[in-house]
Parts: sequence; C-alpha cells; structure tokens
Amino acid sequence: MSGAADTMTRLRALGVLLALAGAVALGLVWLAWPAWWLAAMLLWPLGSAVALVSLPRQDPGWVRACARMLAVGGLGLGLVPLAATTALQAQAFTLEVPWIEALGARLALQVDGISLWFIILANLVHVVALQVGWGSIQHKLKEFAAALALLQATLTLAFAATDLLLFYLAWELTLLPALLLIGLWGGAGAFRAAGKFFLFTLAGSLAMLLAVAFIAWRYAALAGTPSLLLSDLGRMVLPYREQAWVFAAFALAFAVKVPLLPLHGWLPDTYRQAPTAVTLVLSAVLAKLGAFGFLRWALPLCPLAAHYAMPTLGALAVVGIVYGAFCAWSQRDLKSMLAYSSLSHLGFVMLGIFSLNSGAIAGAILQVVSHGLLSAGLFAFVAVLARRGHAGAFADLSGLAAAMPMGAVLLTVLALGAVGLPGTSAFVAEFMVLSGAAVAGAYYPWHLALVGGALLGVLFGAVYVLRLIRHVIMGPPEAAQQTWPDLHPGERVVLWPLALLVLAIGLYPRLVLDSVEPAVKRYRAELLEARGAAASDDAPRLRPAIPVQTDAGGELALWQRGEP
Amino acid sequence: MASAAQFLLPLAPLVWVALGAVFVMLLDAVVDGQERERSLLAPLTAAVLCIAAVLAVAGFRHADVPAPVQVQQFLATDRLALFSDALIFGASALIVLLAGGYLREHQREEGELYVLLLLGALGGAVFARAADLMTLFVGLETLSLAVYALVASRKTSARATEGAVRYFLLGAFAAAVWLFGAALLYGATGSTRLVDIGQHIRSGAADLPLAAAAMALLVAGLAFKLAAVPLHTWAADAYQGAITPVTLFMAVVVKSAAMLALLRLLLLAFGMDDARQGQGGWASLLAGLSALSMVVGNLAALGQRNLKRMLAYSSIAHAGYLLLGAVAAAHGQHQAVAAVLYYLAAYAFSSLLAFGGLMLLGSRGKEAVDLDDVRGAGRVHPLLALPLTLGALSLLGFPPTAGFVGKYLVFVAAVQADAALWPLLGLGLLSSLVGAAYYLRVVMVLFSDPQSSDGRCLAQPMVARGMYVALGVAVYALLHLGLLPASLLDWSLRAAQALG
Repeated sequence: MSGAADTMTRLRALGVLLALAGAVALGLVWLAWPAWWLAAMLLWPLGSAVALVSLPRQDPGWVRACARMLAVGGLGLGLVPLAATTALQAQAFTLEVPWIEALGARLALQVDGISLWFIILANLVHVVALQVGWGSIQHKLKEFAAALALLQATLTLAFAATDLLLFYLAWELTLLPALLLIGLWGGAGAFRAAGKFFLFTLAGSLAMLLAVAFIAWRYAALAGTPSLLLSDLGRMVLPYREQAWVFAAFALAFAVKVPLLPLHGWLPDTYRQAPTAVTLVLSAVLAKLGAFGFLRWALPLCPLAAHYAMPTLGALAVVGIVYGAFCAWSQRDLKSMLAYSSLSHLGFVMLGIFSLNSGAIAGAILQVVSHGLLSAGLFAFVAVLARRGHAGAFADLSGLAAAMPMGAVLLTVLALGAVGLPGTSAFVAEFMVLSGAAVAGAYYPWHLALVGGALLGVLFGAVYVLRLIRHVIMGPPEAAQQTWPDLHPGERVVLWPLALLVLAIGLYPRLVLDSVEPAVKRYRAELLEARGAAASDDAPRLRPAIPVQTDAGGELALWQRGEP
Repeated sequence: MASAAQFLLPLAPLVWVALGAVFVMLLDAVVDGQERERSLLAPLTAAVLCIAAVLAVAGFRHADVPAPVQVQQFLATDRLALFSDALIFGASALIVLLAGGYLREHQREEGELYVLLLLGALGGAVFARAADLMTLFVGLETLSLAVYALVASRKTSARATEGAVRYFLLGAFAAAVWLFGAALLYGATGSTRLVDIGQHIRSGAADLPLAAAAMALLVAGLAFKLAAVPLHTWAADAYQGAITPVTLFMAVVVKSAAMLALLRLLLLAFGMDDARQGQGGWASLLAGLSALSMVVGNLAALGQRNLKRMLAYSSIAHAGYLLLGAVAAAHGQHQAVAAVLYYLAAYAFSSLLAFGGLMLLGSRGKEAVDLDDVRGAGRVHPLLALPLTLGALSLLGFPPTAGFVGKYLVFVAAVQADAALWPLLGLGLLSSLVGAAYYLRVVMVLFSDPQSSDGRCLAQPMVARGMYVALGVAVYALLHLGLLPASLLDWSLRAAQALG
C-alpha cells in the first residue's frame, strides 16, 4: 500500500517537473517568436481539457495529479514574459491571423503590461483551485477539471484579445464553463444561482453587442474598410453623444461582472452555491474581467464619456466598498463573508480606474493582483475547513490557533492583507488608488469625498476582519476542533507562497509595478490625447495614427498633471 | 433556339428532385410491406436531396452563364436562387435522415411521408425562386398541400387532426388573400413578372394606391407562412400536433422558403428605400410584424412546458428577427440580405439540432415532449443531450454557435440601415434576453438532477445511425459557421447581389 503510494508520489513529482520543463521549453520558443507564446497560452488549457477528458475515470488520484500538473505547466508558461520585462516595456507582443474578412474581424491577440498580470493571475488561481479547492468534488472529477481548464482558456482569450468581436466571443464564452461548473458541481440551489448569474451577465452583454455592432459600422463608414482591431478603433473620434451611450452599453456589461452596485444581485447566491474551487476562480479572476473590460475597451473607445462618468462610477465604486464591507460584517459564515468582502475590495479597483490618472490605474492593477492572491488564499481556507468537516459557520468555529498553528499564522497574514495593513500588497494597492483619487480630487472635489468614503469602507473592513481574527483564530478553543490536523503538505504548498507573495509585493511593490507602470503611463497618455481630440470637435472622424510619446515628462509630471 | 440542356441546367436541382419524388413514390408502392427494403427509403430520399443540394452548390460556382429568357421569366436562376436551393434541399436531406430514425423507432414507417417531404421541398424551392407571381403561387401551394398532408399524417391523434384542420383552413384563407393581392397587383401594373412590376412602379406608370393595397395583402399571405404575429395563431397547435420531423420541416423549410420569397417579391417588385414613392411602405409594415413577433413569440414561449410548443413560439420570435433583417434590407443594404441568408442557414442548423436532439432523447412510447421528460438527460447521457443543448444555445444566439454570428450580422445590418430602426433593435435585444431565459431553462433542466427515484430520467434515448449522421453533420456545421463564418458569409454576400 505504502509502496504504491510512494510510487504515486514520485510519479506526480516527475509529472510536475515534466510540465514545468514543457512550459519552459515552450517559453524558449516564445523567446524566439513571441507570437507563438500567445498561441501556446491559449492552446495549453484547451489541450489540457482534451487530455483530461480522455483520462481513465477509475483513478481519481491520477486525474487530480494530472490536472495539477497541467495547471502548473500553464503557470510556468504564463510567467515566461516576466523574464523579459524590459522587452515588454518597449512594446506589446501581438499575434494576428485573418478570421472574418467581410466583417473586418481578425484573430488578434496581444499581451502588454496591462493584460500580462491578469493572465498570470488567472493561471496562478487555476493552480490554487486545483491544489486546495476541489476536495469536495467527488463525482465526474475529470469533467470538472476539464471545465476549469476551458474556463481558463476562455479567460486567457478574453484578456489577450485585441479584436472587439473576438473579445466579445471570449467574454460570452466564459459564461458557459462557469454555468456548468456552478450548476453541475454546486449546492442544492446551484442551477438557479447559476442561471441568475448567466442572465444578469447576458443582459449586459446584449447591450454591449449592440454597441459592438454600432462601432463596427461607424468605423467601416469612416475608414471605408471594416476593422474591429483595438488599434484601429482607437483612432476613431466619436462625438460625445455617441460615446455616451456606447460607454453606457459597455459599462452595463462590465459593471455586472465586477459587480458594481446596484448590479450585484447575482453575487451572494452564486458565490455561496458554487463549489469552493469555482468561487475562488469567480472572485479572484472572473470578477476582474469586468475591470479589465473597462481598461481595455470602454475607456480607450469612449475617453470623453469615461471622463464624464468619473464621478458617477467612482461613487458607485465607493458605495460598493462601504456596502460590501458592511454586509461582510453581518455574515455568519466565512464563505459569505468573503463574497461580500470581495465586492468591497473590487470597489477599489473601480475607484482606481475611474480616477483616470496613471498612479491610480497602476494601483488598480496592483489591487487586482493583490485581491486575486488574497481571495484565492482566503477561499482556499474555506476549502481547508471543509476538508476537516466544517461548513465555515462562525458560531462553532473558534480557537484555530491552538489546533492548527501554521494555518492560523497564514490565515492571519491573509486576513491582515484583506484589511490592508502596511507590509501587505493590499496596503500599497489601496494607498496608490486612494492617493490617485486624491490627485483627481485636486480638480474634482467630489473625488475627495470619495476618498473619504473609501476610508470609511477600510474602517469597516478592519472591524469584520479583526472580529474574524479575535474570535476564529484567537478565541477560546472549541473541543471538537482540537483534533483537527494542521495544514497538510498539499495545502501548505499553495498557502505559503500566497502569503509570502502578499508580503513580498507589500514590501517591494516594484515586483509587479515595474512591468505595469510603463504600460499604464503610455495608456494614460493615449487616453488623454484621445479625449482631447473628442472634446475639440463634434463630428465623427478618424485620427491619424500618431506614435504617442512613451514618457511624457516622467511619472511625476503625469501625476502632477492629474486632470487637464 | 436554346437547346434542352440550356433550359434544364439552371433548373437541375428542381428537375432532379421532381424525378426523385416520382421514383420514391413508385418504389414505395413496390416495396410495400417489406421491412428491409422499406428501411432504405429514408437514406435513398436523403441521397436524392443531398445530390440536389450538391447540384445547387455546383451551380452556384458557375452561375454567371445566363439562362434562356424563357426560363428566367418564371424562375430565377441567379445565385440567390441556387443558394436557396442548397439551403432548402440540404436541410431537407438532414430532416429526412432524422425522420427515418424517428419513424422507424415509433413504427409509423409510411413511404408517402418521404414523397410528401420531397414534394414539399420541391414546392419550397420553386416558391423561393419564383420570378413571377404565378410560379410563386404554384410553389406556395405545392409546399402548403404537402405540409397540410404531413401534419395530418398522424391520423389517430385528435390534436394532430385539430392542428391540421386549423392550419389547412387558415392556410387556404391566407392563400386566397395572397391571390387577391396578386390580382390587384396585376390590375395595377398589367404584369405578373416581378421585374416588370418593379419597372412599372418605379416609372410611375402603375396605379400606386392600388399597388400599395396589393403589397399589404401579399405580405399578409406570406407572413402567414412565416408564422409572424398576428398571423401566427395556427403555429403552436400545428407544431405540437405534427410528428416531430414534420414540425422541423415546417420550422426550417416553410419558414426559409417564405422568407426568401418575401425578400425577392418585395425587393424586386416594390424596390428599396431609395425609390420610396413606389415602395408602398413595406418596410414599416414589416417592422410592425417584426416587433410583434419578437415580443409575442418570446413572451409566449416563456410560459410553455411542452418543448415542441416552446420551439413553435421560439420560431415565431425568430421570424421576428428575420423580418428585422428584411426591414434593414429595405434601406438598400445588400449586406442586410446577406445577413438574412446567413441567419436562415444558422436557424436551419439550430432547429435541426434542437428538434433532432428532442427526437433522439425519446424512444418508442417514451417520446420526450415536456421539459420534465428530459430532466437530467444530460447527466445520464451527456453526449446524447449535446444536440439539444447546442441547438438551444444557438437559438439563444450564444457564441461559438452559428446563431450568434447570425444575430450579430442582423444587428450590424440594422444599425447600418437607419437610425429609425434603433427602437426596433432595442426591442429585439430585450426580447432576446427573455428568449435567453427559456433556452437556458432547457439547458439547465437537461443537466439538473433526474427527478425519478432510481436516478434515471424519464426520456430514454433511441438508437438510430441515420440520426447520428444527421446530427453530427449539424453539430459540425453549427460550430463551423459559428467559429469560421467567413466562407458562408462570402457566399451570402454573393447571393445577395442578385437583388441589387
């Protein structure tokens, strides 16, 4: 028995090494042809899904091991471009293949400083979900793993697509594996919850489809040839009236996904009913797709409308921060609390984006990474508790520090990260967002009020997290929990790196910001120029493609410029 | 003096199917009662239709050779005509394959069904190609008579008989209305040829108020076949009463043929928007029909538990989306015609999968018709539930299926056409969100827990090779058209140029 188990362990270790080696080999391919790396990022999860479905059903351990190996391989592949950060600063990598010429749609993929971290995060969270999250999944294991891999593929496509139709396709496609993952493997009311999630998102998506059709027509009418490439569409200057409703349609779609209040109706049910591995992906990655949509599409296509929407969307973000923290406070179990806390933290991302200066936007991207790490770690704890037979209700959960000291340490680090204590990644991110918003406040006093509101949210956040620490970790030990084993090696191997990453980014944020900031500065400069063009003239037209200066007077100058 | 070949070549698919119908009819009489030979009727009929579709596709590539005037006067030989032939015969071939499995399983193998399907397809093709009011009527009636008989073929069912009688009576009335419109149009312009009518109207030589009245009557007659609200009242009963392959035939072939005939008639005889004075306002008439169909169809489908009835209302809603494309075409957009053509192909494959998937899930005595019948089928038989799932997703317009591309093309066409279409577009979006709710319910019911105590679902799938082939082809086509739409889009654009 133990001999067989040993062999198994060795085989798994070998497999992980092989997956890493394969990923590194593919990464070397990338160094030669960056475009191939993009294709590999997309094909890896697709291939994983196919491979997983064709595994024999009899050996669940093997299925789990293979799924993990493949996910680790994907992560290895995703990390490769970090090795070439300097190259990434200079320019983004693109892959373009003709697709539907009559519509001007192309299979165009791109990774730049903005999308890179979203893709890395998706891959990292995939590994966490497979390592800790799916202990509760007992039936149809390989289908579950394959669906998760498919979700990964559609997410990667959505983050990398620079063709509007391709993005829309990927955006909608993420729903399908999500629906199945929630419905088939979730709790008793899971399909109802999943259906609600699906319809909420689809309502926004349909509005976006109309906007896509409009933009496609406008560009074709202006340029004479159809195109849906971001680089082409970004040259289009639309009058404010058109921008306003295109932006509204996009914002509806993206805000549902984040979610921004008051479009969050799907969130509590879905997060509660979904299996923990899926909740983890939903909160850590899928929610970020909404924020990414704003950054990649809504802002560059409608810069003027985005500018005028700043106060409204910023206010909604702050309302979300406060409301989410408030609701999290009143929850009686860990999973629901984390669901609302997620709502609260995503508010910072939105506030950062809608402060519209490079400091705040870089902060928002850092918050995406930080919240991804934190929520992956915290939801992983829900799975850790579930593995010990506990549903996560606070009423009979107390004194973990005595039973599982290592678990308690890691939970404390992650929980303090959620409060945004200095030294954790969330502190840097939230600080950047708030100071960026304050810079915006120099021109729009409204944003100063928003900063105040957000600080109130931070305060509420501290209250519920400190209650968690005082009661659950430090409280009087519950007898039933004293027999619990401390973290298993399989749990340690993801929770330690997550906690360490949170601290590492907190202490040395350049780890992330080095690859983000140059791209954000360029992005912001383009945004300003496009807005200026739209404000100066009221007829739809095309701008000539001007190479935008990559460094418009350095970071400080941009900060000081704040708003024109 | 044109040779016989010159007459026949442009019409090769039609002639071939007519001969095939006669052949199958004779064969049916000969093999009466012989089990083994009878089982060959379905593949044989499908082969006949398939070859017709191939002939049409081959003709599409060489459609530059002009046909003799004597032919063109009555039946169009342009690319649009060949496109519609390929669509109608190709879809019919798959329907016949599905019908073969279905009829065998439910022990109602009657050879005349195949003959009627062939004749119906032939009538549909003539209907869609007609260049003259008279040939249009001949096609319309050939198609209709075949379908009346097909609906009534379930002789023992009171519901089928009721549906058939209602369909027949209303259909006869609609045909009379259409004929009255045709007579008025002849009176107004002095011609039955669509092109001549168009010239007369544009030159102002025609009696325009009379032509406008004729237009309304003609549209009403065709909207009945299209099952557009408010002329849809027959649809739910007939769809529910008929055996499922016949329902599928009505949803796909009758609707496609009616839509193609409507486009050809309106665009050739009444012209596009730039000649608004002679247009008689058909665009606004279609816009009204479209809005009603989208809203009523989707809302009514929401309340149905019976899947065939639900799909009947869904097909009404899709008639609304098709009409939206036609309205866009009224504004001189040949891209809009192409969008409608693409939508028709996408809708054909989606319906094939939805109805075919439904047939597949029900074996003898356990036919799946209600939502509860298929509950859990996806958990027990994931692969066999795939067709119905994909069909529902495509009807919902979800990527990566053909339905999504069709919907996108129609939206783009409508955006391009006119700012006045925005309210209609908004209505279409809202109603397709309602549509999403009931299509999604099908998917969710398929994959939720089976209710019965032993963990099996009520519906027991049947085994039929012909059906697997047909559904496999449809699945492939659906995904191909959804992911790589360029080639069919190109063909649609080339076909659409036939109408200007």
